[in-house]
Amino acid sequence: MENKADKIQAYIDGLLTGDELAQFEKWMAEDEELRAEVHAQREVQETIRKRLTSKEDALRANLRQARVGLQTGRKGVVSLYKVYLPVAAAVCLLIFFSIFYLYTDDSYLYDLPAMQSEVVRGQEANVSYENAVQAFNAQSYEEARGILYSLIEADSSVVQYRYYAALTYVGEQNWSQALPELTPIAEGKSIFADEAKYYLALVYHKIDQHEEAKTLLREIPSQGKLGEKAGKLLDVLEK
Amino acid sequence: MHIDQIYIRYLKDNDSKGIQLIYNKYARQIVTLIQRNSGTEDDGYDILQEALVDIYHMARDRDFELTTNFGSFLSLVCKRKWLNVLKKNQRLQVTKATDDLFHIEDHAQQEWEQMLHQVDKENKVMAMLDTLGKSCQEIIKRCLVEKHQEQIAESMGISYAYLRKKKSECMASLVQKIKQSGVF
Repeated sequence: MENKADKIQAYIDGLLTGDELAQFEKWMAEDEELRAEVHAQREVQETIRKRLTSKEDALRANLRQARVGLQTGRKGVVSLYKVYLPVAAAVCLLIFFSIFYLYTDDSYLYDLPAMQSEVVRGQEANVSYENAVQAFNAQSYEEARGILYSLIEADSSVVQYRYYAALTYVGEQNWSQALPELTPIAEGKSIFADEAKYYLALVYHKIDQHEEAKTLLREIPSQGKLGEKAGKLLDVLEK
Repeated sequence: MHIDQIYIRYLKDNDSKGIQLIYNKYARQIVTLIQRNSGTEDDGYDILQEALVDIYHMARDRDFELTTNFGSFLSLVCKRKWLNVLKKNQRLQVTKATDDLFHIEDHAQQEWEQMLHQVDKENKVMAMLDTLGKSCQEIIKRCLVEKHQEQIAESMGISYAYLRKKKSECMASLVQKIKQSGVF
């Protein structure tokens, strides 16, 4: 089932044709909010594309070099402000978050992610995969794993199948099986590496190998929801 | 064309000698300006760097012509940026009088203001992108720059359909964040 975001993206990417395109354009003509969303998304994409190709990094390198060139021979005095302000800010943040977490339910840290469907416009649905999605999200982990393993057999290069198959063991709390399945994904370079690190850390936590868990959590970048969850789980482990 | 348009050219061309010249000629002036307005020397250099990056984007994307000397224009851009930093850090109680300090009256300067406003908006979009998770950032960046999405999916170890699904999900989440921040 396609949602609104998929349709907007398909429209912007020029993937809607014929009746589908006419239908979407009619919807846009009638719906001001949709029109605004399409416009905003197009503008955001254009901005990002423009900035990514702007060679800003090369300019910044030269600007830094020019600053160094100017300051060479002049040693700045490091003020107390520079040293103590970040420390004070860090202490305040630590106190704030410590208090905050004391009163926050952290059960969601142990939840598995929903398995993502891959039904999109113009692409024939991978029926087996969608069955695995349904089974996984209904917590029928054994069934989902069976389907995923048959997909892995057909194409072993798709990390996404191996990642969700590994998570089925986490869902079953079968830590001894989850560990060897998640480790290569966590050590790899795919887009699932950080998520795999998180769930591998969870497995280590569950089998009381807390140091291994903490090491993995510290490797996860702090941005986004995953970074936030990793930070919170790390706090739980360090309490 | 103003004689100082050459400095804009140095930035646009990322000319290292020209950029060094800009620093040698204007850095002290800007650093002093910031220090006189509650900033440190480092704040001054940071503001100068970010202002020059903004001018680079203005020059690169738009038909930008300097109508005054580069020093005055650079001061204006730096003041504007520094005011935003002070507002953000609440190091300054923003009053009408403060806003008047940076008020732009000249017609040409109003045009610059519009261009700088657009650059600010773009800076905020890029800052929001940095707040997304690593995989979302990678998907959005690669899909917007590289042509062959099937190849992107393959190199990421995911199916093409999954890539498209994630891309639309990540974009929707980014647009949502941007809207909530009031940029659009």
